[in-house]
Amino acid sequence: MKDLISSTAAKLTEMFGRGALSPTEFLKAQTEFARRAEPNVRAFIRILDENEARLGVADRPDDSGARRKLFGVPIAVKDNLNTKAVETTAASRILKGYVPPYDATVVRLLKEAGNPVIGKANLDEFGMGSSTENSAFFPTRNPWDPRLVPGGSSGGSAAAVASLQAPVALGSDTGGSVRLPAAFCGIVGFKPTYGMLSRYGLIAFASSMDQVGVLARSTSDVALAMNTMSAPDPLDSTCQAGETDLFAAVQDFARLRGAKVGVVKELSRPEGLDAPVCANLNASIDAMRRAGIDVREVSVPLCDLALECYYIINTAEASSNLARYDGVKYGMRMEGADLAQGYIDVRTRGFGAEVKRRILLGTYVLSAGYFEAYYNRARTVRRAIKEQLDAALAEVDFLVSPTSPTLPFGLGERIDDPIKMYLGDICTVVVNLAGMPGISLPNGMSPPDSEHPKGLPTGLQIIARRFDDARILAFARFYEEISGHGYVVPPMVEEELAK
Amino acid sequence: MNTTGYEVVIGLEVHSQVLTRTKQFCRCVSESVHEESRANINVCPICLGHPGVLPVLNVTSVGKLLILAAKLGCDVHRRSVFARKNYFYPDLPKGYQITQYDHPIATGGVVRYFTGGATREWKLTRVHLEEDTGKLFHLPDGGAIVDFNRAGVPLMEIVTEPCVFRTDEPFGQACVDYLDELRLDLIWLGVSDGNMEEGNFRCEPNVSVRKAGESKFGVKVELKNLNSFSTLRKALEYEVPRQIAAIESGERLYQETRRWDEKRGETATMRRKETSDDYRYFDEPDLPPLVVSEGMIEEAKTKVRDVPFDVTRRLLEEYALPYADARQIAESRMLTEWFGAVVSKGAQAKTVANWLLGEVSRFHNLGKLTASPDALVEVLEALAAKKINLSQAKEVFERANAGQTVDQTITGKARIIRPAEIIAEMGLTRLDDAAALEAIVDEAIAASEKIVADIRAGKTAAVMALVGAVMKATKGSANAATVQEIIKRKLGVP
Repeated sequence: MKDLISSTAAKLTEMFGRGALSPTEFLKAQTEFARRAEPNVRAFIRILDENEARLGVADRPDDSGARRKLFGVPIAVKDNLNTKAVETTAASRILKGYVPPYDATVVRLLKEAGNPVIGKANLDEFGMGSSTENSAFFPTRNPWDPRLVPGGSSGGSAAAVASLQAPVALGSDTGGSVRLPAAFCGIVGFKPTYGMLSRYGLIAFASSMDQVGVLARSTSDVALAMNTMSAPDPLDSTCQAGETDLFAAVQDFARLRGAKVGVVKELSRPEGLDAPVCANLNASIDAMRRAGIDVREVSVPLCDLALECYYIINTAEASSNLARYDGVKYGMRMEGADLAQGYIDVRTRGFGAEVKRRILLGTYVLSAGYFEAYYNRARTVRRAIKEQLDAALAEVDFLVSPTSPTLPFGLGERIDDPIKMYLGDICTVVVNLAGMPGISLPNGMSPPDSEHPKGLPTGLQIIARRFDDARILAFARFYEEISGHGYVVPPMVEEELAK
Repeated sequence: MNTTGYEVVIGLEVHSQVLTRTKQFCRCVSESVHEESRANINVCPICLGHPGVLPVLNVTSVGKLLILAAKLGCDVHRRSVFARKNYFYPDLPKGYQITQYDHPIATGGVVRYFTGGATREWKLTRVHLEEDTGKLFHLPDGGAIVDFNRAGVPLMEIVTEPCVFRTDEPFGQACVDYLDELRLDLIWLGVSDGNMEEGNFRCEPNVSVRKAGESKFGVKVELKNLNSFSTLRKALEYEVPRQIAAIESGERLYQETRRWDEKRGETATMRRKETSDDYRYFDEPDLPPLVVSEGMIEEAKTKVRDVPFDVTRRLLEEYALPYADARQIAESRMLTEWFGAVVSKGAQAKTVANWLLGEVSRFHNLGKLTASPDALVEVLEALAAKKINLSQAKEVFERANAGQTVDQTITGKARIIRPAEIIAEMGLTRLDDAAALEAIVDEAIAASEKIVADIRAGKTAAVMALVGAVMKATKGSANAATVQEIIKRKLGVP
């Protein structure tokens, strides 16, 4: 069983499929390990017991479609994705006790394909943050060093996958929330094209950029999960999923023939990067060149305005999306007769500092008199960024950059300095502004030191054209092959596994 | 008070529930439920604003709006955008209402209506789609129940341009007439049920006054809590002199919302706006822009039909009916249909109108109208040919109506009893049989020596006594005028 815990989902699903292993048996073992590893990592707001985990989960593989799916593999689900009859909080006090009456579409599709939910993963409250320290309940630790953050906001999902608590996890990515923690934890994190996966049941943060994403220990596993979840959804008008077989696509390197890669100059300036991040980026570029890929530098000048643009748009949408948490209908209850005071009480007690900061900022940028100067201007910049990225991607097939300019930082290091925290998103937000697919791949480690015998992981970000999800995954898998980089078991997890 | 020298400027905002089976953005049933005990029966996570839900537009409501737009000549925008209107209230589940803001589906257009017997036009600014809010039931103990049955029900907002009236014009009545006509347009086009009691058709007027000839608008007051046309008229008729009096006495007018207090018969401040409300509108990111296809517009055009305004105008222009008659017929689909069917067979319009508003309406209102327009055509033909007189005609129509569904045939099949058969059966066909009448007159003359002597002596009024005798002999079926003529001829009375 020990081997199986660290196995890929592709292998598990294949074993389940031919009856060599029972999903129930594996779920039991996986849950047991997750519980054991949990005190050091704190990846989960809640690890489900077997009955909860199997609620509404199909017993047999779904052979309705030709695509190979992710049968039987337990999934960690970020706690901003609704799970029917299982408390879902978005790591906010205001939703404490909220039990959704429905499954998010992606969760439903996984259950229908036979995937149990192992637990609800921790996150920055409502997805707002880059370190998972903004969870109203507790921060999650980086499996590579519990004194470091796992990144965010899908920090729980990333830490769970990296610490072998789950083979695959769902996250959500509004400005890098899947890719950044994937980079910090040394795993693969994929944010599909906006519209590839249904957002129905994903607790909204910034609707025009939110997208469900997948965290796994290999690109193939990501593709299997995508095959399970990518389907048109009549409940999401912005969902335009197709029926592409992404698992087949990642095995097929032929489609990459002649592919050109552009390194985004503005996101890769050495002076803005930690030395190991820079070194590993260069090594990645070299590996690609050695494999015969045309790698060139491309410029996307407006990347320099992306962070400001992103924080205006995300706060504006968040201020509206979070208005429904008023204590009237669910979650925290309003008390007392005075309506205005009731709202103030509930929202003051229910929301954390970062959420309040964003609601205030968002309300401000949408207000009469400021709308033109902030929100509307940000929209204009967003369109321009999209055009510049489109232009760059007309010239090359993929853009690359580091996922994060820095190595994982320490718990508490940036929590009192929001601007510094926001700067961690600098490389990832452009992807969401343009609605493009983006993936973060392990691309090496920092040099080992006394505290980190294997070093700390770094991530390579790849960006592609909208709806080029099959090709970006194929290229990611190709990169895994040529670079030899991939998931490495963190020392802390190795120890746990050895026990 | 003296209001001369002022003008009244009125704009009307109508919210009308769109006639659809389901709500605007979810699949819950869209119906009016008012009982507190049935609160929250038509709700789901989407219209309750649960975390994670998304709206999906009900396309039927778009189709309905397009029918109205085609009828009123609005410009339909091929691409329009939904927006969020953000504010807090317990009956607003998401903390914002999905509506349309700077890119509505339709702009322009005009509502034609009758007021004071003449046609008038009120220009429209825009027509757009949005969703309704829930409703609060206040409990005796001071608490409240929030009922979300209405939350998410599709609404159409129809906003007019400001219209300028003289103070001596019946502006209140004009507003009522506009609303009445618009309501009928909506009902006739199948766009809304227009039911005011159910709250499916609501109007909020805004009104200001200014010195005549000025180009700047005065301070605008919005009126709320108007649940009938008559309160709307009363509120406007109260509000205009109030504003003028305030200006005359140098008082400050506030831009505000005022509610109509039915008990006191006056308007009172509800909410004052020093600055305009800030709803922080922005494009709804959960809905792609609404794209209307050529096909949808064409389909809507095929569903445009005549509304009471068109019928009224035609009845006035082509048939010269009095306005009241025309209006009454036009406001009933049944009467309009009957009118067309009967007049097309050559009956005289005013006569038809009289019959429709008299006998036909009478039976209809009793729920006993079973006759077809053809029956009326036959009766009117017999009447015009003087085969029967008016009172007989009414009797024939009544019997034809009653016999409509009677099944007395040997075959057992339902048979329509036609007026001609009734006339024959009643023995009324002799009426224009001059020879038969002459014989009866001769009999009467022979039997009334005294009367005949009186007539010959110059008491011509006594002719009527002879007519009476003939009528008696014919059981009232003779045409009295014809009988009188024959008697006069026979006795040489001028």
